[in-house]
Amino acid sequence: MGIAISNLSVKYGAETVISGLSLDIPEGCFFTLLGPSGCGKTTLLRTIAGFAPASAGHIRFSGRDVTELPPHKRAIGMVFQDYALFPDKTVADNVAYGLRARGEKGPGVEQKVKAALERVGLGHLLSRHPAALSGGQRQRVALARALVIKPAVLLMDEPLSNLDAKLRVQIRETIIELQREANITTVFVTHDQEEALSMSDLIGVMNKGKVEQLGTPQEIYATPRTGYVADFVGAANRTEVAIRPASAGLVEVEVAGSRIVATDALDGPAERGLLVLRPEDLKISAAPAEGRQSLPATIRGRQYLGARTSYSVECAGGLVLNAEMHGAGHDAFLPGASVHLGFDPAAARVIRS
Amino acid sequence: MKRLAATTLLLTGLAAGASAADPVIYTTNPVPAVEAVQAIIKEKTGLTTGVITGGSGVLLRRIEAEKAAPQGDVFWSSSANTMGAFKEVLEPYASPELEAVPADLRVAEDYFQPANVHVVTLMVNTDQLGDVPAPTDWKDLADPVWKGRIILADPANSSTGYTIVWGLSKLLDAETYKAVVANLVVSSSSSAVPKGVAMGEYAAGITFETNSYSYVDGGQTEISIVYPSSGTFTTPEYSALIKGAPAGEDAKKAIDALLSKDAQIELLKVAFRRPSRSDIQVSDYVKLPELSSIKVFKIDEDEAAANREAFLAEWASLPTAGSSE
Amino acid sequence: MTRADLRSPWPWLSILALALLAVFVLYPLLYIFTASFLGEGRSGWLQLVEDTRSLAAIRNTLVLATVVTLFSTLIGVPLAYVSARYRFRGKLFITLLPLITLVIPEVVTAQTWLMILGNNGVITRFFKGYGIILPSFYGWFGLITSMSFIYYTYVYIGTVAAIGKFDAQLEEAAQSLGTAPVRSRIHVMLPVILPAILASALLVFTMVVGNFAISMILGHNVPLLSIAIYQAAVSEGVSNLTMQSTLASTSVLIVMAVLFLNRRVIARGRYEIVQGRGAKPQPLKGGQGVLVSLAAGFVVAVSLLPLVTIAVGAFTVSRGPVLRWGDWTLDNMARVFITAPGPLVNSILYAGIATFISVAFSTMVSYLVVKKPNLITPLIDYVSAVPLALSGTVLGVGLLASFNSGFLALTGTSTIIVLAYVIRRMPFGMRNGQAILHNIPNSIEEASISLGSPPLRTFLRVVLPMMLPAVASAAILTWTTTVSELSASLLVYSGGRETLPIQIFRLIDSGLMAYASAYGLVLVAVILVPVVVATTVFKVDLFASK
Repeated sequence: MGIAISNLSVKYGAETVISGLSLDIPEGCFFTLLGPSGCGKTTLLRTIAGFAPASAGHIRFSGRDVTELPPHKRAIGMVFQDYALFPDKTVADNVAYGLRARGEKGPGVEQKVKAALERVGLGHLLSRHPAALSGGQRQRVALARALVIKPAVLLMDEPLSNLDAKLRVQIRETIIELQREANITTVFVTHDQEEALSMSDLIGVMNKGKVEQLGTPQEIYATPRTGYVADFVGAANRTEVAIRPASAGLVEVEVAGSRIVATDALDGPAERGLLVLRPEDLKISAAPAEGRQSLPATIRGRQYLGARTSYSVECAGGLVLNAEMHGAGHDAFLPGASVHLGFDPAAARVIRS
Repeated sequence: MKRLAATTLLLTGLAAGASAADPVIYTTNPVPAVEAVQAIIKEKTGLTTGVITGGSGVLLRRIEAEKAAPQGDVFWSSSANTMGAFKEVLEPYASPELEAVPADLRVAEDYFQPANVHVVTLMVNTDQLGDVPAPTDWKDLADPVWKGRIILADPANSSTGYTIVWGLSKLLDAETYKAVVANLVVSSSSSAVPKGVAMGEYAAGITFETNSYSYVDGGQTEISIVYPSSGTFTTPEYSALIKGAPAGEDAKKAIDALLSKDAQIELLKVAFRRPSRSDIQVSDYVKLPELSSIKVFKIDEDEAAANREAFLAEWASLPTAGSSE
Repeated sequence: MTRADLRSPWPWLSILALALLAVFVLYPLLYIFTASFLGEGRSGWLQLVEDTRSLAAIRNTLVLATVVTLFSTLIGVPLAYVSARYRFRGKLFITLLPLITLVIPEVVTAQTWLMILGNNGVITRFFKGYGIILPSFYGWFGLITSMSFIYYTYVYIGTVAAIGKFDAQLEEAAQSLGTAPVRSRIHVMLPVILPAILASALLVFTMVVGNFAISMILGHNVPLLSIAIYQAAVSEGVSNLTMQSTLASTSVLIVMAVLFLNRRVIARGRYEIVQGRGAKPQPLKGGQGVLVSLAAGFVVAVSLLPLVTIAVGAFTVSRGPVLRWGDWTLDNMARVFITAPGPLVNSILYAGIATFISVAFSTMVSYLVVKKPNLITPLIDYVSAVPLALSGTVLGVGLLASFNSGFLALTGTSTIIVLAYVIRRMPFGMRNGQAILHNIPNSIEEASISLGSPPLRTFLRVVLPMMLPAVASAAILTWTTTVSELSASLLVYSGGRETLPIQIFRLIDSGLMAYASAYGLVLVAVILVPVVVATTVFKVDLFASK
């Protein structure tokens, strides 16, 4: 079941949290709303669920307008950040709750509950109470509870943020498996870019109540269309530059006293723009590399991170960039060393500021 | 919620409905007295009576409020002055039992029926006297050694207290009256008077003999009752038929039973209420003197009632020992 | 509000709740206020400024409340401190303190104090033997002493809770910075727990203003506000609706002013109370331990004395008002259960119904206020707190006057008694309910709804079971306080509908202490049995939500 959102506005009192938002989520898609806290992503999710009323616009599930439908009639499954398990009910009763609310009775319920819990690897904990479960187990129960009712739409509000790093990766996998298996349209809210990039079919990066960029994880990461997206998804060096058009798809800009060629992602003509350089696209070398444009610079500081080293590099005119080196000898440069920062025109993107 | 409210109303209805047909007595009397009288009414008429208790003001106002649909049948008992203001919700009834009551106690038209006679006494706790001789008359209480040792109910909110102070003002000369008043401690609760003396809080209290005698009867030997030699005050108490009494003739039967010799004897024995009837020898039943042997100072109840406000204003200006100011 | 909102049950329930509150809380209050201005004859306020006795009553009430508040704090705070921070012999008894105040009717307490310190009291006579004359217990001395020894427990409870929550690490931090232990306590702990102390002190102040039973028995000729209201309402002469309304309004205004102050204090102090790791009580040994045990033991013994008195009195032979100490009998108890069981039955019935209604209503309404806010829920919240400003006497006068006749004539029914109980307890039920609900995350409820359970079913199946333990403790506290309610029910009850406290009050008033003790002992049992059963059998934590 696809979700179509058109011209949606949501207000809390006098404050407009979401204004005029339109979005199409195809059927079976794992869709992630990514953004910092306060960007409106949770509000959007709650509006899709029906918990936050829309002040204008429409939400349609497979073409059916659900904007005015109370949440309990929307056939959604929802997973919460704090698990929201019913503390007075056993694991089995938690999972059976939605089925019983639908009037299902008898051994059928038991079978479905058992199957759902076995699917998340908790078939042995049927009669436990939530208080006796670990965080990861609780979230698995919550997942089973949301999925056992075969919802049309699965909504997840930062379901992994209360878990520790290792568990997070495990449950991520469980979620994706289950989602693919049921081929259920899923809206996943997170502020964690790694989660978003690793799990999603589509990502909507949200900022101030609007979807700033919509695309596949690859598109979002490799071709950010705004400075905000570039900065929020992955790390990025950003600097304001003057633009001169060059050949097709390329522009010429001046940075740190040098002229360089960069990819034109401006979406139309402009005189000034934002140059975006990802740290991992910057190659540090002692001498300028053959056939690659580069900027002369000095190493100012470094952080050894095991698999890589992160350098703080100062170019002419005081511009400080962040560069990351991988592979053999990534920690070879010491503070004070004079180096060259090389990069491909494809890795240097100029976008509208 | 709604179902609950309905249940509550139902329960209320049941409680009220249980005794709807039986006469209901609105009474100011204490539990033992009421129970004794209920037993007599049952014995004499076979009627089971319901009882609603409270202060006379509360009950009479309630009768007034219910005049459109009276809930009670008999009011028992208060002073004629208090009841006088509520005549329109009461109904005269010349009970045949009134034959046995002296004429001077009866009221015009037999609007109310004299039920018993209260006699004002000095209740003395001899343990608390110390070197002070026991008082025999009001004027003894004028001595400054009594300062703060005599308790009296506040005339401003107790009709007993009012009767006593009004009587004293008439009986004593102005100087002695002021000296006595200066020694008094005033209590806002009239029941605190006998209790205060019995517990030894005060050496003497001015209270009805029914109250003081209950401690003598209880066996508290240090309590003695003094009938002041220059005369004391009496107040008859009355019962009355409530106008439009739902129990009809049964209400009258209840009053007859209330005034009967048996009832008055029982009341005398249980609650030490001096009968209004002249055919009962008090000393046959309790260790109280006959009314004829007590010197009574007659007070004009009508005059007392008419001058109430002016008298209380004057009273308020007199210093008492227990004045909080 | 959108159309979708109006389809849910909550707006309608909110309207219903507000309507009920308007009829049963606001209407009586407004009735009193208007009657004070527009009663018979001149405005009550004009009469008031000329009535020296009423003015004295107001002044005395304020003075009494101030002094008792001060003494209660002086007793309650140190006791709370030693019991929160130290272990010593007999500490268990001190933890029972809150229960003692709950179970002993104030009338009995007042009477017992008279037996000890009255003109003929045990201690008074002892001192008299040495030629020392103690001041009369009636009036100021008795009022202050007996009230202080009852109300200090409220300060105690409030302070113990605050010290328990106080993060001992703050104290350790202060010490690590070079402050001596005593100094660090005064400088670090006191400011943090001060709002709690002040809040409970102000509570004591309002309780003294509203106190009826002790004022009635010990006040004697000290004019006090609550007694003046009561007497204006039940005086033998003509009823003075204007004056009783004016005095009642005065009481309401005083308490409202204090509550306003309280709100300011709590609002200011709220950020300061940070839940932290409480300190582990330290054992006190040697002379210090004995001293603390003795002092604390004395306070507890004094609080317990009335209980001992009624336990003995209940089985003592009596004739009329005279008790034959040393002669034992079961007659008094037989009276309570066989001859005249009415008050017992009434108390259980009325308090039972009131507890049920009160808990159901306040649970439902706190749910609306916390979880389903709309335009009228803040109003509901305010109005349901109004009874805090009404002393029992004022509430009784208000109910009596406004439901005497007219569209809802309740005078003389048992409904009005139940109503008085429910209204008096409602603010506490609401506070309790809201505290619980704030602890239940919204997501739990949304989880249920997202699973297809409609809102009302969600409330019943998910929220209510989660609230249950706290609701149970609220129900028990409501029961204990309604069963012992006197001042409001004394005004609205009618014959045949006497409750245990009313019967006790009347019997004490008639001087029949033996009967009064028997009813008193049964009252204590009626209060204690559910408490004991709940805490031991069902493991209900009575102060779960405090």
